[in-house]
Amino acid sequence: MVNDDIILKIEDLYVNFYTYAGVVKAIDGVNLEVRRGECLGLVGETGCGKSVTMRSVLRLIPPPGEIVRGKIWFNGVNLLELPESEMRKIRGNKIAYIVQEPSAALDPLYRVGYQVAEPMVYHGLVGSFKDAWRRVVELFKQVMMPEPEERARAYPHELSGGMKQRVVIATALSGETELLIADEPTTAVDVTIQAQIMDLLNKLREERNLTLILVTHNLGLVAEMCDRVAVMYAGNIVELAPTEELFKNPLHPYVKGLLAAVPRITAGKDVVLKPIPGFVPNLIYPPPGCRFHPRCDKAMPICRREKPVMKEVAPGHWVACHLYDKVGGGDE
Amino acid sequence: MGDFKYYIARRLLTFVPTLLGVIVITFIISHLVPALPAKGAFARHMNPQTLALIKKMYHLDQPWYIQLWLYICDLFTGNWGTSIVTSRPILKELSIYFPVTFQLAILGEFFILVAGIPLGIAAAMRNNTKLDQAIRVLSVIGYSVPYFLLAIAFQMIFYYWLGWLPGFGLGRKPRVVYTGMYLFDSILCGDWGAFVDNFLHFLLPSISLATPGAAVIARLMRGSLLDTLSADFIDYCRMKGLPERVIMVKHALKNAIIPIITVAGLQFGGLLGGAIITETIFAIAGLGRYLVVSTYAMDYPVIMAGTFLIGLVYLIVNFVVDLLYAYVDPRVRLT
Repeated sequence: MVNDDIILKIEDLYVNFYTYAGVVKAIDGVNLEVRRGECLGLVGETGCGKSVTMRSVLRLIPPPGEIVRGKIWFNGVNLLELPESEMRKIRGNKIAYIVQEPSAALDPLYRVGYQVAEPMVYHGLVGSFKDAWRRVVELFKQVMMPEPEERARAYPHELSGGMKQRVVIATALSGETELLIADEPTTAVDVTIQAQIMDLLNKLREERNLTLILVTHNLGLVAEMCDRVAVMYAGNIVELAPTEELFKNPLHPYVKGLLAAVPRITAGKDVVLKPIPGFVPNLIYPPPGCRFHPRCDKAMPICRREKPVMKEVAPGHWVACHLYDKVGGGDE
Repeated sequence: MGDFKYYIARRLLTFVPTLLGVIVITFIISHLVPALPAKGAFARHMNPQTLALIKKMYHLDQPWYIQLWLYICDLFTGNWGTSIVTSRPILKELSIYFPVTFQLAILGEFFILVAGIPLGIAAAMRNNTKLDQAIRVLSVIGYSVPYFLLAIAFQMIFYYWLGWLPGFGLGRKPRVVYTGMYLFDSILCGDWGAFVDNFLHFLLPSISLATPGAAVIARLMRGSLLDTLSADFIDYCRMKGLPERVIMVKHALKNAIIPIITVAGLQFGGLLGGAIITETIFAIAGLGRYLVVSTYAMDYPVIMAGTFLIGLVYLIVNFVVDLLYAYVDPRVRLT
């Protein structure tokens, strides 16, 4: 793989949250490479650290969270070493974020067109708000907003949830966007709008050659949209594979369990869904070794002692599990 | 801005019934007072014939609804009646006393906002630091100390002991008096000496009047700004890469100021009605003192007129507040 193809590389990222109850080790050594132009799915349960990982890319971890160490390379630049003023030029410009709750993300006091125009103006992409307005209407056409000119003059409370999500997507496209991070972009809208939004994201990705990271817990969405999938559990990436490969041949016991817990409409009524036993661990006192071992039915003595590292067991298929230590010529 | 004009029109429509309500209530209250007004003022020195004459003069022999009707007609034709005690037209007396209190209230509100808002912002931006704690403690003290105590303390310290500021009365009369608000008049006629003198005279009264209000505003501003700063849309502004200064001024402060507008409006009404104690301590001949004296003398036409005037100003201030509110927050225009 040529290095130039990598748009984003997260190396050994650790994020802690310093709460009154103790230090939450939310991200525990995440490594991830994202190729230019691909759609990568980042999947996991609520609280597994997918959003925190993605927010680390923008360096916007809400307090009391802090990036402890690691490197995040974007186009060959380590974002974690940039001064804040340089980082600001990347946010909303090169790297755009699509948020989960568009209703809460828009300032109720400003017209949505103004809010879409803001990053263009403050990143110096247009001369004034007046110039930006034309671009806004254009963007609204691109995201297939009905009556774009009138909608640009509307206030957030005058728009539906789906339209607000289109506003947020239009904002994400307003800069010289290369990387688009969509953090559960469809949880706040109903299913029909969900399909429209995903179609739109797909279309825009092809048109503008964007790289898309789709953060979600919706496996169906991942199967439909993504080229590759990374699965996170309790602050670690446990498996990374091309989408089809992962669904056909999951290796990590957690991922197997996750897929077994998804209902299939073709499987008939009598199939009993299998939940994964146990609970997500408390990350103030994470289990030693593999963080999944207390819930794992294949746990071995080594799992309690040593944290498994990511290994490529088949071309492009990586897994962090001691079960596969011998596969792929792993010498410890 | 079409919806804004529509909002103003609708808001004006509610203005008239509210005003009528104020009139009816002041009328009822003053007529529920158990003492017969005419008797209250003169009974001890009066024979029954004179009493009957006075009753007739003030239409007290008519049924209450005729009285109310006559009262409303007179109010709107500028005949606010005659004071029983001084036998002077009430409107004329009010035009002397009201501007003094109004000026005091404006200056008080000015100090409330000028002190309260920046302190609140500073506390919110330095959340949980020594500065924040200091401001919070000061604000608790500010609104728990009774303000007559504060007023007397200020008078003792700055006038009696230090002699830095005048301790009572109004300042020098400016060359020309237009409104009766000396500060305003001295600016209009360019009499800067009178302006400074009046400003110094009003400094202690208005600051002691403003302290509890400023303390409330500081706390409210702090809470409101902290709330806004933790809102998702502020987070999203950061994701859009907006400069921190723009986020603070255009988004955080604009949203945080909304509750302040409402409370400041209510406070202004409170300052108008609550200036009595301050006016007494600092010997300022304002509306508050005038009304208190009239109440003791059972001078009921004055009480009614004074209450109506305060109610009217209160209504106007609230109208302005509502307009400001709708101007800042587009969601308000719908309701």
